[in-house]
Amino acid sequence: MSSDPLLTTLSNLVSLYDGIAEDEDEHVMTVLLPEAIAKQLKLPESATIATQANIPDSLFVSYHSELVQQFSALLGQRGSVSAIAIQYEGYLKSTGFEKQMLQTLRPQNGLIRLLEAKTATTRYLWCHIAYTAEADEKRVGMVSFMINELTRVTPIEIGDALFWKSDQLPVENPEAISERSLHELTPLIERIAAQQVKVNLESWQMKLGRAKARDEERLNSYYGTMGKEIETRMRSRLGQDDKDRELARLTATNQELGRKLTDLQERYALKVEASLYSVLVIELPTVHLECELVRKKIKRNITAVWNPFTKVIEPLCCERTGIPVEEFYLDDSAAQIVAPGAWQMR
Amino acid sequence: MDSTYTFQFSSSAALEALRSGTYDPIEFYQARLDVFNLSVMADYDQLVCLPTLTAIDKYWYQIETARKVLRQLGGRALLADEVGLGKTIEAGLICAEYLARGMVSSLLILTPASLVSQWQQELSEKFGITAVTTDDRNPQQSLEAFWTENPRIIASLNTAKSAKHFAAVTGRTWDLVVVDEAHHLKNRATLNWKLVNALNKRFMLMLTATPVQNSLVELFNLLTLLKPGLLQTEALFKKEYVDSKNGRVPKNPDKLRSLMREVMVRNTRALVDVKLPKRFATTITVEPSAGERKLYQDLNDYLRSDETMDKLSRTNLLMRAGSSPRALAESLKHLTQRIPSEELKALAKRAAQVKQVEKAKALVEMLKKSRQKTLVFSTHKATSAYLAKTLEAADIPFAEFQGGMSLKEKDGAIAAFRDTVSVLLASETGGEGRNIQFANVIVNYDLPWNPMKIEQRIGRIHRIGQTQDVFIFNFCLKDSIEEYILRVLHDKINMFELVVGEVETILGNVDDDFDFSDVVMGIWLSHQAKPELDHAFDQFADNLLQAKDQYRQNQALDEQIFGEEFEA
Repeated sequence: MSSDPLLTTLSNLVSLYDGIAEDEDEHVMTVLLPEAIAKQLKLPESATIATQANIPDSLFVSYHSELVQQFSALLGQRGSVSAIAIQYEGYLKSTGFEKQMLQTLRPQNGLIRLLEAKTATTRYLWCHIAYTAEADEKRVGMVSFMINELTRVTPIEIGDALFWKSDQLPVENPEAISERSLHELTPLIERIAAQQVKVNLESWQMKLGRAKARDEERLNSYYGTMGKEIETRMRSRLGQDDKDRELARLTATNQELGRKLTDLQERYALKVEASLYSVLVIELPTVHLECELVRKKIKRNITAVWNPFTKVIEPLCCERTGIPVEEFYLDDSAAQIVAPGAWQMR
Repeated sequence: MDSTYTFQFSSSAALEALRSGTYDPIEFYQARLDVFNLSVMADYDQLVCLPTLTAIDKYWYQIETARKVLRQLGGRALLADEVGLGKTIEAGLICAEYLARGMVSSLLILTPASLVSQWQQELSEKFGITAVTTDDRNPQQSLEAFWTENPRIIASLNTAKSAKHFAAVTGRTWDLVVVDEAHHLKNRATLNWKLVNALNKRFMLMLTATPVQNSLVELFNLLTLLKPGLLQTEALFKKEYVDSKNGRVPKNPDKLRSLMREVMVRNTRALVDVKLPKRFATTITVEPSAGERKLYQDLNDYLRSDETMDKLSRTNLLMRAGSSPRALAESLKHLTQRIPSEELKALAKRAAQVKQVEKAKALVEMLKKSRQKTLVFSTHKATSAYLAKTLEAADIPFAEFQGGMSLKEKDGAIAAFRDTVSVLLASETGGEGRNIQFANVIVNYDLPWNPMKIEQRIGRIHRIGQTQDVFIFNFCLKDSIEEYILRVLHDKINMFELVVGEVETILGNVDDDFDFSDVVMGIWLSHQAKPELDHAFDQFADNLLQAKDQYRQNQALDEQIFGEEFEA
């Protein structure tokens, strides 16, 4: 099979729409398409597709080709959300979590007690965020992260759960995410997306900052010299009219510098637009640890998750900042989980 | 609020689908992601080749450079990063990307002769690009056939420009030409320049850390090869951009820089924020035992007296003698099968019988006192095996990392070094491409005669990610050739304090085809008495010092001309 990402993707798309794709070599593929699909793609039903321009009787494709756009249009919004279940062959224990739990989840001003451990499915949302960033050029990219739908903890790792294709099962009639759940998840998705995109663009942003500083220095130096020349002329014996004229020139020069600096600000400012591109809902067999949190006289039950693929008890979610925490405080009114940073800022 | 950064998150079809519970089969989800990936690759926002390149550390500025050359500079560029930032990696990335996209099928790499095999090895191991060199040519194959039938060729500039090859090299078309150490093209009157100018090429990369050495006209000559006409004619260039009194000072620097931006990328250490901790080198000169001293002396006498032995065998014997008696014995034994000499047989027997190895004793003493994670390099397997036995006997736990081990064994060795033992016995390839910056001590139990190889060893731990100061211990026997090499490299040109890559540039300044180990070997074998040897090596060191001064001057000039305006 060709390792060319372009041909591999086209081959998968052809198969997805009931066509047949066969590699001839690393750069050439022949396809047989159903009549309707061929019509939509404006292709003959049988065609040779090549990523090199010198292959006779073939349709040359590149990353910019119309064919890619046409396939993209054919796909439309399909594939935005999908769901799979992961099967776990090992034994899921439901005892012996006390020590690990006390070592992992550490309330600093209260207690945590394990009430019950039971096997249960946990849903994870693998979110893919597409972004377009624009400054002196335009760049597109993607960041991806997982959210535990139950605990709201994000970003979270699920170990090698997706490693074996054979362990992935289709989910018949997957349950929709509840409106309430989605209401809480959307700001989380936005927050993590903002954080991760910023990290992705950090080097570029720094580079833009350096380029801006250099251009500003150049402009300040250029207009500064002009300004000084005008001021020198103004100090010489000039008539009032000439002085006024020079003053006007100085004002205009300073205004021009201001305008150019504003343009620079605009040119080097990084504007990012992002949106949720697709989501894979992953149903994972896990162990739910029903725990009791105790703060003074207040008691409250929560669920922590032990993931057999990572063999760890996952952190909990700070109910004020949304960040994952293992060490946390419990507030006095409702034993809410508070991250140390947020606790200091009370 | 940060006025230089705004982030806006919009609602999308995926969010709607999540809300309405509209699920599609997994194949559609995968196809949708794949289509997005294609769109990211279309404008080089993501490089196609990157996921396949697992054998190199890729730094953001190298990827930015590759993107800029591909996307903005149209594949014709002067890569003029400061020494040590990885111009070869940047060029390799661009080659790999063009090949992955099917935009290039023929590739010619021109380098100084001393770098031909290094390029071949790096392209193959780091980028999976196979290429032949002129040394690989089958004698039965005609020159024309060699140059036309091979799609990817690495050749020295000297070979390619020679009368025998010139017509064949320039008689075909090349999709991509890479010229390493491109400052060799600074003079338009030379055959080097004429050759590259005559090449029929589509894309071209020129690599040099010092584009201007004496005059701005050199820059004109280089850039004219990349984009003929960019700087107009030489006369107009001089009139417009060169100070009439000093050919090194630019006139209209802003305008010149804006033109240069169309073809040039120059990352500097300051810009890419590569800050490495200090490194400290110490030479540990070991007094050999009487048996070792006599053996080394007799071997040298033999090599000096027997001029019939080939250069490779002589170098090999001396290098092994500097490594360990075991390594020497092994080599001598093989040699006696080819050369039936009683003297060699006797030397082989004596080498095998050396019981007291003083260098190994010194190493054991050092390791027993140290608690630092220490990487012990030795070139030869026989030496490694001997050291392994010695460390075992001394009860010093260690792991071994050798070139011939399987991937799993190598991973196991690195994991053991990280988690349980303090010593890793490594061969030349020890830890290449792996993160072993948790170690901060290197022992060169034997010393490669090629300074670049010494640098490669140091580069295993003195690299981005290293947080502690790095300590290098160079072992050598008193009065050995290695002692002299260390005197030149360490005491005279302070190689161990230089930035990685600088020594290569300095040696390149001595002569185009300068080979450090050849020169060292020549001096060693042609002088016997200590005063003569001292004098000859001092003279050699002076030459290197001059080359170092020349490099520093070039560096200062380039800094003055280019500043920090050409970052990727």
